[in-house]
Amino acid sequence: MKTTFLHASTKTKPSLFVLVGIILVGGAMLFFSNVRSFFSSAVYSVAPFVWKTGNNVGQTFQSFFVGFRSKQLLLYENESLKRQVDLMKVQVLNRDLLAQKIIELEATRGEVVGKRVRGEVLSGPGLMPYDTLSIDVGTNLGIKVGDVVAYTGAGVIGEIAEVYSSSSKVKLFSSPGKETNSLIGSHKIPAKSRGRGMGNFEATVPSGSPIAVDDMVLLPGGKLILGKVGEVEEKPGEPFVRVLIRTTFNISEISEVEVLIK
Amino acid sequence: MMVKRIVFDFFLICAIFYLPWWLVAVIAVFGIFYFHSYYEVLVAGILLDILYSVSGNEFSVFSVLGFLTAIILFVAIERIKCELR
Repeated sequence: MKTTFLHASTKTKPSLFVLVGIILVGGAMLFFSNVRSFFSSAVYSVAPFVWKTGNNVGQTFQSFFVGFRSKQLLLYENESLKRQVDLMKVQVLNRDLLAQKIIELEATRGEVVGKRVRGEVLSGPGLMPYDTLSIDVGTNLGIKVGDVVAYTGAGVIGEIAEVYSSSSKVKLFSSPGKETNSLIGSHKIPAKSRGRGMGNFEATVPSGSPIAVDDMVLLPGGKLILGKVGEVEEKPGEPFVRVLIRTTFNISEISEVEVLIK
Repeated sequence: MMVKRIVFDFFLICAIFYLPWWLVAVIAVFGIFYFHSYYEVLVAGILLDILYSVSGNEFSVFSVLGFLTAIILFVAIERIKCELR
């Protein structure tokens, strides 16, 4: 009897029916806002715990390996950190005094300065290309969709896009395609700053506008800083000038934010 | 083989929470090549979008980026696997 040693593969191709089914179900989950909200709430009831556990494990490993570093290096680092802490104490004192003065001034004008809620960043924009970040404060602390999120006091980074019971998702102002009304420079030239991702913006202003590199870019109202002018691209003969703007800090390194509750 | 697949699924889910996107893509590609009909990568894409993207009133590719990428990777790599057999 002839036999052949060439065995045909017994594995079948993936089922098209199953693939189409998963795509349809996935599409329904992502495109219908009610369904998406339901699944988002379910995932975000667990996600903060997972992120915090991961961060704690990471910190435990770090503190474990610190013991193996040389004693001299640790002493030097300790002294350097103490000096930085002393400097920061002074800066915080200055900032608190300034904030107190602003509150007093605005109270006399009849404006109410909103409450600020501090939150820890669970997942930053550096890991994924979505330009969002997740924080560990939610409706339990009065956070609402649309609240502005700031870093280091006056530097804004985005606004609350989705909120859950104990966490929220922040959409960065620099998300690709997102337009934010802004005021550029000391002359407060109005412009729409379009997000380019990871703390970068671009704006278009009429040629001849008094804008220079390092000019501040503020949100309407003039109190919150969107970023700083990094570059001004002017082409001769064109009626508009392209302004490249960048946040004043590295967005991928932030670990704490403040939510400005309206 | 089933146990290996379950352990790999757990590893992929952990990667979505803790690792950068490009590493997650590498792990997903490896899973599609190694396992037969690795549909779990599509579920991983949905999880990625639910975790990190924001749903808005306007349609944006970024709101379904993970899922779209998972579909493209799955179809392309399964096609390549068919050709290589």
